[in-house]
Parts: sequence; structure tokens; C-alpha cells
Amino acid sequence: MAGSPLLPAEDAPDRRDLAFLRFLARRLVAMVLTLFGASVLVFTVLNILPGSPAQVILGTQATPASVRELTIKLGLNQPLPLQYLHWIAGLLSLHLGNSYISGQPIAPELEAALAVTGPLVALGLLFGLAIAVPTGILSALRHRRASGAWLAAATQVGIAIPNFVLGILLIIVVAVDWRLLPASGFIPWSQSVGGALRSLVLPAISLGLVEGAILSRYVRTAILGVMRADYLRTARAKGLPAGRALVRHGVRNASVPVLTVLGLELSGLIIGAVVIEAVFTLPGVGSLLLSSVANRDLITVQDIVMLVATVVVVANLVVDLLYRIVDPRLEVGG
Amino acid sequence: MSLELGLHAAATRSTVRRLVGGSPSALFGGLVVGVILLVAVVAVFWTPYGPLTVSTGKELLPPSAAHLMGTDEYGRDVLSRLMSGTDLTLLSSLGAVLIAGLVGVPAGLLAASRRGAVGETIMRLADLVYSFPALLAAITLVAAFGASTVTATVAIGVASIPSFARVTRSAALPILASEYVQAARAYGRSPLAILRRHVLPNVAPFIIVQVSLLLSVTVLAVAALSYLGLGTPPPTATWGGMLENAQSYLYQDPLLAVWPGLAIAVSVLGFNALGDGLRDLLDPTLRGRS
Amino acid sequence: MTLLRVTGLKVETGGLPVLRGVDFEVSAGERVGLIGESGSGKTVAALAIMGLQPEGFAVQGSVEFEGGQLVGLSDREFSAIRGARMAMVFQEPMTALDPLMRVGQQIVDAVRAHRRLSRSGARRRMLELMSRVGFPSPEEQSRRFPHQLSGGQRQRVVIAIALACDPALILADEPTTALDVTVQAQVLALLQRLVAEEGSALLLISHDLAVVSSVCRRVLVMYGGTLVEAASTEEILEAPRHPYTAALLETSAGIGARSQLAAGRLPTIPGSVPSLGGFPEGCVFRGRCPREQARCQEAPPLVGDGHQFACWFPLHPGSASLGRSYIGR
Repeated sequence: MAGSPLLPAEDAPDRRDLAFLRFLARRLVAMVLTLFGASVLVFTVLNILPGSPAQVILGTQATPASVRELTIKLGLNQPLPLQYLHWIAGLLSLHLGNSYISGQPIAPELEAALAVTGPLVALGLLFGLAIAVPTGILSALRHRRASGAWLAAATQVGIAIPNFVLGILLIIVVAVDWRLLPASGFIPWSQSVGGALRSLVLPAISLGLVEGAILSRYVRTAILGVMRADYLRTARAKGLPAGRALVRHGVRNASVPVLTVLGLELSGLIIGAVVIEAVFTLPGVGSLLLSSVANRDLITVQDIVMLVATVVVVANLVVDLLYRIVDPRLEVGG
Repeated sequence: MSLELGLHAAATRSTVRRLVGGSPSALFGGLVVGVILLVAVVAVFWTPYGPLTVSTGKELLPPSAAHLMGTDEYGRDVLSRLMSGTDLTLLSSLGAVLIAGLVGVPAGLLAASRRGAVGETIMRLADLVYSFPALLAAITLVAAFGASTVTATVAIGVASIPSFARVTRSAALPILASEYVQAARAYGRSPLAILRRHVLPNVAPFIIVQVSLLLSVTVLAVAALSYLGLGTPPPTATWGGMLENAQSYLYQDPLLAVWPGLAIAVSVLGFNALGDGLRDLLDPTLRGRS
Repeated sequence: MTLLRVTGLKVETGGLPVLRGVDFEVSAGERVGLIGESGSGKTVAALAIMGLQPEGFAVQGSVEFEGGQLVGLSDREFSAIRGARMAMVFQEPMTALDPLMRVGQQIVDAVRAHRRLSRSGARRRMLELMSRVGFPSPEEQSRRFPHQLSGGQRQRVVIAIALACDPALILADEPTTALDVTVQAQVLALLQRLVAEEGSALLLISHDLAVVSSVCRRVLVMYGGTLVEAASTEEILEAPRHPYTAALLETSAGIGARSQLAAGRLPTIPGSVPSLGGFPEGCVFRGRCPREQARCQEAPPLVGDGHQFACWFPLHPGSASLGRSYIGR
């Protein structure tokens, strides 16, 4: 790729910045296209089925006249492409529309839900990292010893326990047996910050442990890779003790592969939050999504699915950018 | 390169032989998966009680000789429901993997052999689906088509297509670039023949590994969907559904939640370990030399 | 004055011997070549001397360096010597440098590993080293990442790292093998000049007799984890005593090989280098040796004064005058 061994690449900074900007522009365009594709896909899937949402909303008892009236009121008599454009235009101007069921605007409800899901995902990620980094490094350093093998086996088991199963096990032990933390429900931030945090502890642990276990294995592999790299031997030949050489060269080099996974991990955390919110009956985005699905409140489903997809795509872009900042080899092209 | 490919081919041939000595992970995973398959086959013909048989007066019994895992809130035998749930879980998971493989593998091969517009389009599409977490796609499809076993299976299958396409493509690319494929092209062998004779056999091990790894993902997704009430509807016994029910009785009978939880975790662990172990066996360079 | 004295150096991994007891000495300022085919154990010997043998390799025997015993030192004790008194140039300049760190910084690290210099002092030293190894504009080139340099330039960086603290001994493991042919001579000449200027001793490891004979006064020939012959470069080329050395000379493209080339045969050593566990008992060259006899089932010791060899049935001195062509080159 960059810099053939015979013709060293020029190091002109402005050219590098230009290459980076070009890369950024290309990725932004790709992101917009992806989101556009996703919105078409979601809209089509949710609206392709025969049967009027108005009928669903009003129930089987409703008169044909009232169904027709509601259909017109919701704009559902228009052709599908027009409905799509209407929806997208609304999203772009941050008008998420009104719920089919309650008639209330979706935005404030979603905002309240985000105040639960956002912190939940953030805490989950923190907890996951807090587990992954030390265990990953330790099991790499001790990979020839029994303790390292046990750690690796433990992460293997950690990966296999689905977050919702772990959540229920935690409820049984911590909430039911020890009565330490609430088993379910959420105390709003406005009421008590401490209470809100307390109600997020178990959900965040259930969410973060699995992702942490997955991440731990990548950290381990990355550190092992650095430990076996020729440049680490060069560093030790310079006279750096093994530990110092590993810190000097390991942090950056190991973070490259770990960063890549982190993007995927984040989407795992977000989608995991949907399930975890159901386990702990937290009034977050996931619960809103599930209740909208149950009520066939399709417009709300559309909005939330697009929101999650956007977050996932943006997170992946951010990770890609970070990746490029860390790894100078990727500065041109690809 | 060709040496490496030769090694892969040899690895496939001797996989079974090396399973025993080569990778404890594969051995462990293979054993667990074997037991799960055995339970599934037995459950088709026999369960201790009918999985749907309600018996009043026998609700929430603790484990006993008559009911090894106790009974649920309707007096149904937990072991029988767990066994019957194994069938449904495996069927749904295998179905999803089949859908993903049947679409993903050809798509990956096509993307690898036709660079340019076709390949680019396929991989962009894969990226598009990939940006959708499987469970989110499944929830969307359930919102549209309603909760059922088929919807859940198709949804998970569709969402898993990209991972197959990617693995197949990245495994096929170096083979297509290898000298012996170039030679075969020079002889005038048709692209389809090259795919069949040279590429597919060399890609197959990677696909097998992917099947096992993906099964652990689909088992989890199937369970999660039925836990959320978006999979097979009750009263049919599903692991996720059993877990969801049990959650209402955590204070009276926590064991009720432990059984299905254990079943899900052990299955995921088994398929995962098998896939990891197989990958180690097929590509020893990836293995931690421990 | 003896700088390095290696006695009975053995390296084992997984019960298989990699080095089977190697003895040699390097004097201060001396340039010694260590030659052998791949798999002969020459790289492992260098790594073992540096205490950098890969995990799972057990080192026994004695390595005395500047009067101190190196075998059995802790990593911390060894670190005080590595880079400071004894440095290494590696074979693969592609991978020997950290891809994510600017090359200047990697040289600075080497300087600061042993010298208490200020940031700017270390930087000055780094720039001086870079210009000494042939970078015309070190200020600018020190800010490059390894992938922005050519293979030859990268190897110059590796050499600068080795020279950072004026070591008494430099171990160079195939320093030119991974480079383009045109660059090889330049890098070799540079290494030779710098070693001479510093007065450091050099242990040059190579499979290429031409490379070794152009730089070194003395040559050690290694096969199957043992030294089979050790003598002055001239004696090795003109009067090899060990059949393996003679065979090695044959296969190198010198005059001796031409008669065979004229006859339409490419000279080769019969058989191939066995894998790690596959060397025979007794003399390790058994099975490939044209002079093998029953006594070879017993391992021959390294004997001789000045010109040492390990063979029960050595070639008669002067019977093979194959190597003249090298001297003339």
C-alpha cells in the first residue's frame, strides 16, 4: 500500500492532511449512503405488509369511515414513496413525528428513554474495559503459566453467558438473596441521581461483562502479538528491560487491533441494552422499541431503528478515524 | 502461498484425527455439541412428560426423582420442556445459518472473483446489513411480520449473511491470486470450474469454522428473541420463553430460571469452543503457542 | 585481549538440542564471521549470547563477556549490558522497527536506555548517529515512520540503534540478507567502516561466504548446532579441513565450482539440512558426508591449535585449494 520500499513516500504534511481529508470525505459519503440504504430498507420492510395501521390502532370494532378518516389524518393514503420522503424530511429536521398509538410527539419520549440507555451503555462500556484490559494483559503475560490459561478459560466462559441470562442470575443472587440492589425498575435522575445510578449498576454489569470478556481476548491476542514482534526484541536489545519495552511499544501497537473490535463492541453494547432493559424493566430506548413493536406503532419503530443504526454507523466511523490517527501506515489510500 | 494452501487442505483431511490431540477447545466443544445433538434427537421421540402437559396441584415443585428439574408454574415438567426447547433452538439456529450460508457464501465468492462494480456492490450491501445488529434487524422484521419461529429464523439468517460473505471473500481472495489459479486461468479453465475445483475446497475449512462460530451467535439470538417475546409464541417450549416465565417466580423458585439459562450458556459455549478449536486446528499460526 | 569467551554453550527447546556445546572467543576489536546454512543454529547462538533467546529456549554453558558471566543473569542485569556494551543488528529491517513510532524516537530510546542525557542532548546524539549511518538530512528523516523508508534506510536505522552507546561488541545477524543486492554492499561497507572507527568487535553471522570473507579475519563454520571448523579466513578458503566446509566452498559460486558448472552440474551438498530433531548421533554431518566411516558414530571433538576442526577424517591441508578465488575478489 503506502510507501514502496524503494521509493520512500514524501513526508509533506499538507499532502498528508489532504489525503486524510479525502479519506474523511469518502467515508462520510459512504456513511450517508449506508444510512440512506438502511432507511429505505427499514421503511420498505415495515410498510410493505398489507393492512392499515389505522385499522390496527382503532381495533376490529372500528367503522370503515373512521378508519378512512384516521388514514387520511396520518397521511397513510399517500403513495409509499411520498410517505417515505415525508418521514425522512421529518427525521432530517429532527421532527420524529407523532406516535400512531398515543398521538403524542415521539421526540420527548425518546429523549427520556435516552437518558436511561445512554448512561447504561456508557457504564457498560466502562465496566467492560475495566475488565478486559487488565485480564487481557495478565493472561498474555502469563500465557505459559496455569494462571494465564485459567484466565483465558474464564473469559471463554464469560463470552458464552448471554447478558440476559447473566442479568437474571445477578438478580437472583444480588437482588433476591442479598437484597443489595434493586431487581428492576428505574428511579429517574431528576428524583435521585444516586438512586438512578443504583438502578443501573446490575444492568451495566450484565451488559459490560460479556463485552468485556470478548474484548479481553482481543487484548490478550494483541499483547501476545506485540510480545512476539521483532521490534520488541530490538527494544530489549537496546537495553530496555522486558516490562519497560512492552509498555513503550505495546500500548500503541496493541491498541490498533483492539480499536477495531471496539467499534463492533459498541454496537453489541447498544443492542445488548435493548435486551437488558427488558430484563431489568428499565424505561430506556429498548423498552420503547419493544412496546412499539407490540403495539404496532410502526412510526416509532422506524424512528428508533434508524436512531440505533445511525449511532452504530457513526461509532464505526469514529473508530476508523481513531485507527488512522494511531496507525501512520494507513495515512494514504484505502 | 501454495504451501500454505496445501497445509489447509491437509488440515481438512486430518481434522478428525487431530481433534483428539490437537485442540482441547475443539474436543470440549465437540463433546458439548455432541451431547446437545443427542438430547435433540432423543427429544424428537421421547421426553419424560409431555412438554405442554399441564398438571394442576404440581406447580413449582422442586427437583425430585419424578421431576429431575422440578415443574413450572403450570406444573409442566421442566426437563421435558428443556429437551423439547433444544429441538426448536437447534432447528431455528441451523435454519438461520443455512440461510446465511446459502446466500453469503456465493455472494462472497462472487465478490472475490468479480472485483470491480459487482464485487464492490456486494460488499457495500454486506456493509449495509452489517451496520444493522442482528437483533435489531430481527426486531424490525418481527414488527412487520409478527412474532413467529419463521420470522425469527429468517431475520437472524438474513442478518448473518454478511459475516459469511466476508469470511468467504477474504479466504477466497488470496487463493484467486495464487499462482496455481493463475495457471488454471492460463489453461483456459472456466471461472466456475476454478471456483469449484480450486477455491471452494480451500475456502471450505473457513466456512466450517464460521458455521460453528455463527451457530453460537444464532443460538444466543434465538434465545434472546424468544426471551423478548419476539420468537416462537407460547405455549411452545423455548429456552428464552422459559427464562422469561421463570423471571416472574425468582423469589419463590430461582432454580426455574437457572435451567434454561444454563442450557443457553452451555450451548453457546459449546459451539464457540468448537469453532475456536477448529480454527486453531486449521490455522495453527493463529493459535497462542501455549 | 579476550572480549567474549563462549564455552560449552548449549541451547535446548522442547527437549531438542539447537546448540550442542559451542566454544569460541572474540577478542576486542576483532571481526569474526559465523557461517552456516539456515538451521545451523547461528542465529540462536547470537540471541543466546544477548540473552534474547525466544521463550521456551533453555540456555546452558558459559558466556563470559568483559570478564563477567552472562548466562543466568536476570533480565534487569542483562539490560544494563545489552545496548550499552553489546548490541545487535537484526536480519529483518522490515520488522525490527516499531511501525508506529518515528525512527528518530526509536534511536533516542536506544541512547537514553543507558545514557543520562537531556531530551535535547539525546536528540543531538540521535541526529549525529543518523548522519553517521548515511542519512543526508537527519533532521527531516528522523521524523519518518519506518514504512516511509526503504529497506536499506531502515537497516541503517537499526545500525544506528546498535551504535547508540558505543558497544564493545556488535552481533550482526545476516544484516544484508533481506536487502536488495545493490544495497547490500553499501550497508556492509558502512557496517565495516563504523565498526573500525569505533574499535568495536564484530560477530558477523551469514550464510554467505563472500560476505564474511570480505569483512572478517577469522571464520567460524557451524553445522547442526556445533562448530565444525574455526580458522583464519585465508585458511578456511584455501585449506578447509572439515568436509562440510569444503562442501560449502564448492557450492559457493567460486572458481572451484566452475569446473562442475562446465560439466553441466550445479554443485550441491548431497542431502539436505535435517530438521531440528533429525540430526544423527555422533558427527552431525554423517549421512551427507562423502568421507564418513564407522568411527563417525562417535562425535569428534574440536581439535587443533589456531586452525580448529571437528572431524575424524579431515581433508589433507592443501588438498583443496578451492577458495583462492575469494581472496582475489
